[in-house]
Amino acid sequence: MKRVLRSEWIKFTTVRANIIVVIGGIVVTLGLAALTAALVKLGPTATSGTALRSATNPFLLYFLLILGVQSFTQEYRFGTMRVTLTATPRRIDVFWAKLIILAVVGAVTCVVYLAISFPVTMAILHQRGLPTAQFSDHQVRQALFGYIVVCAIGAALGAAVGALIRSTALAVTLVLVWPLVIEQTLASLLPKAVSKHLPFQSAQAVAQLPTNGYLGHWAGLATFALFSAAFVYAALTRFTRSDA
Amino acid sequence: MIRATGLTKTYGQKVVVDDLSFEVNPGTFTGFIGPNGAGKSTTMRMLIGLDRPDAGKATISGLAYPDLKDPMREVGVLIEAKAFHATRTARNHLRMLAAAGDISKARIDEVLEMVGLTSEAGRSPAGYSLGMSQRFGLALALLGDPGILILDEPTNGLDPEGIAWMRGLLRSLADEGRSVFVSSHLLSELAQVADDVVVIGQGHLIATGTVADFVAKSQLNMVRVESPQIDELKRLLIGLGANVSVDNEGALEVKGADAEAIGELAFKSGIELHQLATVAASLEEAFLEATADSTEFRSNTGNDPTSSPEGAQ
Repeated sequence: MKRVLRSEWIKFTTVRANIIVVIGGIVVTLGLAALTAALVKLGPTATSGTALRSATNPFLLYFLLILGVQSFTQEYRFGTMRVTLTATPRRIDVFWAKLIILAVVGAVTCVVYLAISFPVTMAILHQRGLPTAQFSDHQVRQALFGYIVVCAIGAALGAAVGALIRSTALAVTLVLVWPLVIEQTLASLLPKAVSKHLPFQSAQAVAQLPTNGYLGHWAGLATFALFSAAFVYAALTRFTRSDA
Repeated sequence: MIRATGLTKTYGQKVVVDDLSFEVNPGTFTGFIGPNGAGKSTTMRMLIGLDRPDAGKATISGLAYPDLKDPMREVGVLIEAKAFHATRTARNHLRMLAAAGDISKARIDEVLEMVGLTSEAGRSPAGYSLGMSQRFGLALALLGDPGILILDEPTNGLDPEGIAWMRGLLRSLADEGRSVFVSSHLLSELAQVADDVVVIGQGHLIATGTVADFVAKSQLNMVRVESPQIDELKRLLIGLGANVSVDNEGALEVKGADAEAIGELAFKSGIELHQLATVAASLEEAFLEATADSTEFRSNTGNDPTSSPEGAQ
């Protein structure tokens, strides 16, 4: 397993596009977070919860989903999956190695992002005389940590979708359309009591302070993790059983 | 030892590999020959566990490829000549594989040197010419210094000089005691260097054995006979059941009777012979004949693919 992990790590770091997606994801999401903090109109009911939400912008998650998707689909596109599986014919090892690398990259990317976005957005909000979230607040720390876990799971989920669908275009479309279009539509149509259980609504609940109409931290994390686990299971089954 | 036992693979309705069994002897250079679409690549993918056979099994040294303890050090594989990421450099591609096989950095330099790509290692092999890609593919296969090589059409797309180079290198690898199993759709590319052949057509085994045996067995072998009593001899031979034609120099070309039988017949009938010579088929003719027949075997019972339709009559 150590060999496969090393091999997958070299594979990940020697593709420029991966580095670009990671850095690009951090930069773009930082920009959005700063913009939100600078422009958001917070009414008199604004709390530290609304402040925190500008720091934990969900956009980073979408970049990480795409990063995950590509870890499999690029190999199918360029035909290197056959080379990979010739070098490491135990497919289950290749599968988990990829998911582990992606999860670690997802978590580290999120740590780097939050290390910048949290102080920057809070400084902007503070400057504007608006309420801010304090890192000393136990619940704030829990939400930030939650976002890191969500990013780790999200990158692995992207990989699972990539392994399942194999086509970059289809898989990227799915991981973007699902949270941004399908869930948004469902959320506006279904009663909150139902829509709060949707996987990306749940993921959002993990990265914010407890909010009405959303699941709690742990329930949200459990829902998102369960949803992802279903994809991982399906992907693992396909990956280990079908022709490469 | 590479062994296929009853390998069968179906894509939809099409049977690509049909109950294929053969062995590749250790330490030999074996050509895996068949026309395009005969099922060579599919067979090779099943040998290394990339495709799952619908029936039968493939083993290497007695084990299924995925069960080998250290696959890269046991088997070197070239299965797709142009399977590279568009931006990953050749050296990084090798590093990635070396890590998977726990192979030293020094070996990366060695194999690059061996195929003459040291100076090109800094760019992506996706930009290589087909010839360079094949050489790079061979470097990948040799990375683990394996005792067995499985190479799918390594000469495809090479110029004559490149083919000669590849043949020489493969031969020398076999002479070092490695088992080299190489596919090609052209028998002539491998006939001069291979020890054995496994010939398939439409997923069926057509022949295995030494190259010389394969040619000798071919029905294209014929006997050329010159005689002043040509018409009488022709009549007698046809009576024997042989297939006789007259070439443009007025000599008989006889198939289905060997020189000994013809000589005896002529002697007993008091026919004077001026020439009696066995003409060997060229390798390519033997191959084309054998694989063309595979179509007919399918429509017949197909129980004995090594006999020819003529022989079955």
